[in-house]
Amino acid sequence: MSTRELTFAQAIREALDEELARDEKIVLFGEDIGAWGGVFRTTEGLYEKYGPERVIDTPLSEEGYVGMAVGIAMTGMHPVPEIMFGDFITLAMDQIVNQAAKMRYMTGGQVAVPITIRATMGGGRSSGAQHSQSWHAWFAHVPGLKVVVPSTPYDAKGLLKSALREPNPVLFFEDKVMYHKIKGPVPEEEYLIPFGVADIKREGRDVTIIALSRMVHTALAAAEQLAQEGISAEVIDPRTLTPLDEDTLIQSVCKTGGAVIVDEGYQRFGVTAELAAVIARGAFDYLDAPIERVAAMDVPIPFSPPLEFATIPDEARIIQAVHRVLEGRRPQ
Amino acid sequence: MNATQPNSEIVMPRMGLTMESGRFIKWLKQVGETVRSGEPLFEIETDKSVVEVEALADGILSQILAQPGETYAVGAVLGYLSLPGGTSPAQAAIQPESSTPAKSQAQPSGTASFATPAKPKASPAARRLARQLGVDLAQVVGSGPQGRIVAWNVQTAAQSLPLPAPASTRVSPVAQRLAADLGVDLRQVQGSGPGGSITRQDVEIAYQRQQAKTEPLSPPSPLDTEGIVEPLSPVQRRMAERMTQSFSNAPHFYLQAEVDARNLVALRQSLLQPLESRYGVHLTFTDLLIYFTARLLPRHPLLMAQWSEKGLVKFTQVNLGIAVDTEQGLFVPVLREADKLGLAEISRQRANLAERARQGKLLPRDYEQGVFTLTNLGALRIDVFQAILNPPQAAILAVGRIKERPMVENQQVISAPMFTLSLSADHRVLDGGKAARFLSELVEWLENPALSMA
Repeated sequence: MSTRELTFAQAIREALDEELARDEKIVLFGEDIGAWGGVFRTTEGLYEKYGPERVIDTPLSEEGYVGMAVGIAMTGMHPVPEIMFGDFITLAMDQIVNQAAKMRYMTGGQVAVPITIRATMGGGRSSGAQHSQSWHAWFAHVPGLKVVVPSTPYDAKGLLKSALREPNPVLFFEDKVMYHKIKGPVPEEEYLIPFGVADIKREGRDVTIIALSRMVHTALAAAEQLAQEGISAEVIDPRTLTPLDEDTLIQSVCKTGGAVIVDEGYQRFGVTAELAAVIARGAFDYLDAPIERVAAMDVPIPFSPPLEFATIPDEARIIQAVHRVLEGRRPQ
Repeated sequence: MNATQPNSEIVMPRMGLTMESGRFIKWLKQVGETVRSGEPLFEIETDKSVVEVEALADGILSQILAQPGETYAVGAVLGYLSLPGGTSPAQAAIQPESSTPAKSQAQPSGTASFATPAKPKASPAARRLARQLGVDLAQVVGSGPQGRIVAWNVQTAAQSLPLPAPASTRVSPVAQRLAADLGVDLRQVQGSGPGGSITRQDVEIAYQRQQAKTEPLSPPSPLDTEGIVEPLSPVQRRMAERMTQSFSNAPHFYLQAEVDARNLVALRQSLLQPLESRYGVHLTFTDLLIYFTARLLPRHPLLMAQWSEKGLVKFTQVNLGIAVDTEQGLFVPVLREADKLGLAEISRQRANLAERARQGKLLPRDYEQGVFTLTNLGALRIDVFQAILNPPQAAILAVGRIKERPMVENQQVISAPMFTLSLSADHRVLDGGKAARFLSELVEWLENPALSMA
């Protein structure tokens, strides 16, 4: 395998590029994704390469172009609408939840909706309350949608390529902070990553930290600090929320006896709650402490950087949660 | 097994106003043992002494949390008492057959004062491990938050706890407690009671066999130069700490004075019978010394003062400490406002406190707030000795043996009962002159008791 490194944005761009080349039914929609190359540079050069009929600039009209995408998906195309700021996916909610997610069921399997909706998530850029939210949990709540939350360039490329071959609607969430800050090895050879397979990002024996998207990196940094205290933390990335690889999560917690679940979405009724329930049931007899959740505070995300960083999970909060889980437990 | 039966919390009591925490010494009952209200349940050590704490209700000791030697805040839960009708897991483990009748007894509901549910807190992992290893969770002390038992507590317990006797074997509570005290492994004991149950005698026999086996293995070696470390009792440790603190912090000085005890002996002789017949007390020289010392102290308040960085702390109540030698060690119970007590009352209270000290039944109010201490080793044939101050007090009076000794009077050597008083004092609080005036006046009173009335 090559040791080539790509940024998260480059990995996304490469997946789109390869799949556009492979399958002419794939078309991209979005605001400024064409001639401009996307505000996060994830479609850079694709307009030039595949032309204005396959890389289509749209007006600021999420409801319109997502609805159009659902429609052409029903005709057999594989549209890839991009929501530049995932916050505004609210405008396309009906198209996604009531149309895309329902069509296969309501037509008795006659009509499929192969659509990959790319949306950003994540705060930490001082973008204010309407440009910093992470709404992946909403779609994991809706039957008929698959939700992908990659954390590394390698995973992003492999999972996006899988999404672009899916016959069903996929919500693909990309943390905008990772686009240019996170770099990692991506082989030049083609590869796919199947949905529903979690990845153990770091092996450990004392506590399991489950994190997704950018929080995987925060969790890994926390695990590194914990290692200096002699605490061996396992970090697991579910990579897709639906389908969810429950077995890997449960097995890890059965091994360590404790779980800390980290997500940048809101805590209340969020991803951390669902994963906690899965673990509480599957690993009940192995839990040695209550499951801890570390998620965004249940407040609109502040514009002020000190306040914003206070609401988003960080290494310190993860470490504190691990300490709570391990209180009174002797590291083996 | 029914963990939802009402249980009452056993908490660290507050023994005295200043007590904030206490060191737990040991349980006097085993888990599963029946406890009657008023029976001694456990022992704690406060700043000043070891106290037996009594059960406040009838029940069964269902769970123990407190560990010997650990310190717990006042109000901390030390264990649980399951109230009649409740069947704790522990009880079921010890006497499986008995759980059915116990359950069938009607549970009086609405015992408001014991509303706290007392399911032993254990993580699911700990419970699973306990099932696997056959560990009784009621015997396990939890180290997790709020005392929750976590998995490694069970692992540790599995290595250290004796395994419960096979389910078919009954062990009487007495036998169980004895086995724990003597370190006898119940699995090795052959039961001779009904249905093969293990009785106290079985444990005793097993212990003797065990001793017979182990003794020849450890003969005292003449080459052994390291000695044998005997763990300190709480009273020993406390004494060591307090005396070290006193002797290294308070600059001691000592004054001695001989006392012509002829009048004192005569006074005691004249009072002995009447006090015996009227009040049923046996008057001792110590009682007389308490009487005169207590009445003199208010005239010399510095002897009752205490050093502090902020200034001298002065007291007006003459709470007189009396050193009592017991098998467990030294105790100093206090006679409150001894200057206001008559001789018979002094004698009665002194005898009562000394007896309770010997039985280890002193309560904190019995030894708190002393301002001056009297210690008498005369009965042990000691003629003269110097005492270490009883912190934070500034003075202690050491009394030697009364004995016929040669005395010069009117240029003649005569024989007279005499003894020596040694006053130790804290030079931060008072100087030699002030201490001397107190001691000298006390000697005058003892030699001429009528002066005390002046």
